[in-house]
Amino acid sequence: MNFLRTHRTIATVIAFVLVYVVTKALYLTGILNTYYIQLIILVGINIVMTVSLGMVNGFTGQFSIGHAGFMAVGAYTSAMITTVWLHASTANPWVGYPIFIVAVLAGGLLAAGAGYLVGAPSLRLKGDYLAIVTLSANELIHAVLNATEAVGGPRGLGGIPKFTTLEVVFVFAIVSVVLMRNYLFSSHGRSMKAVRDSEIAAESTGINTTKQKVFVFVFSAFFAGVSGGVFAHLLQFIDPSSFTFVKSLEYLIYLYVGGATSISGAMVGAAIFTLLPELLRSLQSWRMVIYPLILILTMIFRTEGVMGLKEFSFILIPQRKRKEVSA
Amino acid sequence: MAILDVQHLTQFFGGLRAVSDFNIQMEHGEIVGLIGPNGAGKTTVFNVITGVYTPTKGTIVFDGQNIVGRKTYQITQAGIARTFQTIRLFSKSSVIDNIKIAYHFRMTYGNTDAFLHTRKYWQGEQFVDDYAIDLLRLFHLEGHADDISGSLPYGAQRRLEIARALATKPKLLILDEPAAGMNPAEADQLMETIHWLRDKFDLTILLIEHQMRVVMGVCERIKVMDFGETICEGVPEYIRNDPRVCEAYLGKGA
Amino acid sequence: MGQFLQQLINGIQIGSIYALIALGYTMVYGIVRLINFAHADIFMFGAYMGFFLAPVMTKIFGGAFIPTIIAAMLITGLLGFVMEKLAYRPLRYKSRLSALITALGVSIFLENFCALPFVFGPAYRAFPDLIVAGNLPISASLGLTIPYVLLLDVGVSVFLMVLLFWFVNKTLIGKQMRAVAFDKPTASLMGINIDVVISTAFIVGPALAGAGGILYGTTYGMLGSPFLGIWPGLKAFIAAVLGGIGNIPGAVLGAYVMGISEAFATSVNSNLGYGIAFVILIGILLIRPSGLLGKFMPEKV
Repeated sequence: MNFLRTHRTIATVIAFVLVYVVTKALYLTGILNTYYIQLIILVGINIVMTVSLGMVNGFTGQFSIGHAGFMAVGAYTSAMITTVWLHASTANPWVGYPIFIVAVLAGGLLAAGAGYLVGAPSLRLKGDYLAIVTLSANELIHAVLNATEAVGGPRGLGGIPKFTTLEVVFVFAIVSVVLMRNYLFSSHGRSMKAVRDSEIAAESTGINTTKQKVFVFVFSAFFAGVSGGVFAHLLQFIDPSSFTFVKSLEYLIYLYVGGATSISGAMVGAAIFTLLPELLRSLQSWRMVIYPLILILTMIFRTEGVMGLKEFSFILIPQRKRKEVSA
Repeated sequence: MAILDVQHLTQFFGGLRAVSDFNIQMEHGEIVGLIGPNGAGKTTVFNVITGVYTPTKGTIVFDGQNIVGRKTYQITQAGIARTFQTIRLFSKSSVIDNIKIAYHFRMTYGNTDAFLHTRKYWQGEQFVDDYAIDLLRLFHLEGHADDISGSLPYGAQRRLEIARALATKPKLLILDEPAAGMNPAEADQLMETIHWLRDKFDLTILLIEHQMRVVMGVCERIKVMDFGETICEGVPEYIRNDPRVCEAYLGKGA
Repeated sequence: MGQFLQQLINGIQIGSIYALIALGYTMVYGIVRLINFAHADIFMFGAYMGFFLAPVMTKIFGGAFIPTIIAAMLITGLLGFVMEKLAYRPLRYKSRLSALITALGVSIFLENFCALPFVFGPAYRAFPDLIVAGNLPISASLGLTIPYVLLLDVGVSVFLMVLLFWFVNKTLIGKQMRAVAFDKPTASLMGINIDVVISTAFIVGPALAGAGGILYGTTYGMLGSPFLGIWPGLKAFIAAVLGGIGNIPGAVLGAYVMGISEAFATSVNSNLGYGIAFVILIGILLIRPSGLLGKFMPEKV
């Protein structure tokens, strides 16, 4: 439609393909070993988790603190489908991958359903209710998983086929971020920000704020659920302790340090904090001591996070020129 | 038929009676002022009409429909728009986005179009961008379209808030102290704007204002409230000379 | 019948501990409108103080319980004071959300810092016996007994609660606290030193949580890990919401309702015990968001 728009989209696509080709080449030549590839895949998953959390916390101004609970719902649902019920395997990818895709989407939908159950009663109300409900829901999901023998209880669920490859996570992360970015740069996305800036003014301009908040919360839970599915099929083993409240807190740290009011910020936060421990491996046991300190210092000295309101240019939607604007 | 017909409106907060037996009928195209000392219940009347509070008692009929019990956003969609005593812009959004947000409920594309940026999305965005810039131009704000609204000077923020209310295409506009914080020159300008708005957008306007010059200059009819009660109403000249009004503002024996 | 009374008694016991924690949440919320997530970890800190101090106190004083609980309360009170000073005060005039995020940060920090091997360590620890073990038989026919530790829990909690009510209602600083909770700007115009009031809330609340920690350790005889505060903290917070957040008698009422419902739910099914808090929470949201004793506050527009 518009030269600039097409042009920039193509440039962005080329950039991502290049990143993929380089990563793959480094892997094939043995410069990056499997461990590093796994780490890069985790970056992709964590980006989707953090960006989806940012939709609720950063752009809609709510305070959801149990995102890992939805991840757990997606992880367990998809793993049960591929592993326990359908015995999918990577041996025959033509059968395996369709099952995998259906399974992660089913996980996403179930997580979205859980999101609705949690969000609908609490988002009706103003105030801090959502925080305490999501925290409780996260702990409850954890407790239920621990107590359910059918999903392995505290021993967890193993033998999950490894469907999540570098290619899968590339496609997954890019599609997810593009979808959420698109939503944010739409009339609906503007209403999200309106809810955040002044709920009462948003209502007064005709926005059904409750509906808007619940919808964002539900699709955020959906993406968390799908991320959980992709995560389960990377590690091939999940247990309830992978999805505790502490895990949710990690995503909150990624988000707020990176910048909650920016998709780019969420991505930067997720990427840095996923890679950082590898650079400081000697400090492994100190990780969750240092991270919260970084969070507290960010809040005190740079409340809006590293990126603030800024976005990388590939995130933004190119704007058309307006007709004869005179200042 | 009156466009707004409020009957026997009463509002309690716990044991406190904020408004008692408030009545108002407004004809299409009227400009009516609501005055009274602080705490008289004026803003509460606005909040009840716009659905922020549900009235303890009374009926509110707007444009032929009973709107008691409806949510704020439904009332706005029915055609009542308002501004606030203390400016409530979407301060982290751009000036033009403030206008676009107010047009959201009239947008024709849905969630799916938003996720996928379909053709319908692009058409809708193009339309709303034109709509918003045209409206901003009327308020001399088009040069600031892409600035963050919280960074505008105070007067411009007030104008933007009125422009935003108009973007919902209301039939009744409710202004809560539009001249607050304005100097006399700005207030004169505002009086002109209010008349112009009424004619240009075919509006009915209800306003609260403390600057007597503005109220007397712009309103065709005035209601005076004190301690939740309506103490008198009439044309500006009548109100000006009513001893009860002086008493409410200045105390007995004044 | 005996079973019913036994569960009721158990509920009152655990409710007493919840009450001590819930009071701190509700006081801080009432004054600075902040969910102090780290409050649960102060409770944990108090419990660990008991573990480390009890042997020392026994050596010095002979008896352990009273000196230990007083020392733990002083230390947790100090911890609360320092926490507010360092982490929350710099954010007082920034957005409420940033304070809430910081509170989460402080909470994770305390848990993980305490779990470091040279601090408290992540492992299970047996809590020292601070009082004589044993049971007070009430009715042999009903099979009803009351452990001494239960009497201790209820007794200490009620004593501290009475002390708190006296403090809040009768002392000058207590009255100032209520004024600040009611209307901060006006209270400040009346010459009340807001800083002092906030600091007091952050000392008194954590001190009560510290006492709760000691009772917790004495009751269960063990400390699982420095993450042990999360569940009791969560339940106590829900109890405070149930009672009406910001309302001191409400927090006590909510805590006992929570403790008793949990005792009965657990007696039916141990997993239901976890779920009941969530059921109560959703119930409050749907039926009475302002809580049992909370008042509806119209939003200022």
